Amino acid sequence: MPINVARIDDRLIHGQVITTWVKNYDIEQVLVINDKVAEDKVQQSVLTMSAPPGLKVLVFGVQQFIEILKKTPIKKRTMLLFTNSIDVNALVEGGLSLEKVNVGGMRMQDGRHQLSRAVSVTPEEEQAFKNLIAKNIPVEVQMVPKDPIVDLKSLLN
Amino acid sequence: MPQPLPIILASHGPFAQGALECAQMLMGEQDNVHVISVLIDSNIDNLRQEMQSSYKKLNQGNGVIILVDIMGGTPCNLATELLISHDDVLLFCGFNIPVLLEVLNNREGTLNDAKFAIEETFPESCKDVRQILNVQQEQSNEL
Repeated sequence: MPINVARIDDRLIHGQVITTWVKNYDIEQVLVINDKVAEDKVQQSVLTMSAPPGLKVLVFGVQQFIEILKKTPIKKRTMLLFTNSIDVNALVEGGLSLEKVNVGGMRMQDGRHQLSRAVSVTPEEEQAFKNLIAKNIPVEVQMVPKDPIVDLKSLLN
Repeated sequence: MPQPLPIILASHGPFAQGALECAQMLMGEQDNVHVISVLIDSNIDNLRQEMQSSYKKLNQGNGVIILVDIMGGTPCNLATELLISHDDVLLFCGFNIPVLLEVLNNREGTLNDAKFAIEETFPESCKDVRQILNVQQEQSNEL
């Protein structure tokens, strides 16, 4: 089951994702895993439109995707996109195996504290990251592939 | 007397701000232009809020022109959310300076007028200058 990139990025599909990650990894489909977007038709239309021709974009809720994974093997070169670490951790606990997690951005908002310029977490999100790391899944902060990788573990207390 | 069409310029980094400053250097101060700069650490919900509120604030009833840098980028995606929910939004991606100047010169008409002005200007705006030079020299040799 080839998940080629699993990325946390609260902007989901946008300039950086299209111009670098999708191209560098020859991604054929982007699966957006987010409960809010799964219920928001406007955001879904925008996501589908923002993808370049030939790139398939599908949106699933977290639990919905866990169920789908049980029945459907992934065959295409795939990028998973999340907005936060809690959803990633839920998916891993639901049976998804990931080689590593790339963190592009979880921007500052109420209730979060800042770990780096583009990564901020609530206590729950921080715990979710710790859970992933405890399962030996490396979590790497990296905005675009050319940036140096920062191990998220080194940013946690 | 219709109000000039308001404009939102949005980009990654300072491109939109720079484009406006460039245009103002050529054409003088411009009113009712709002710039949105998406930075690495900008919160997406704040940006969405800024896009929505600037549309509401600027719109005088004749619509709003939005120019963004690239298709599929965050500025374009946020503007598309507006486009889906409002009929009086004209959204173009990939704008350049000649397009911006043309839009600023065509703010007295309708959104549709602005649309035609953009579509006419854009293909003519990025040219191999040497080729134009060569064509002119050939012409000037004719008597």
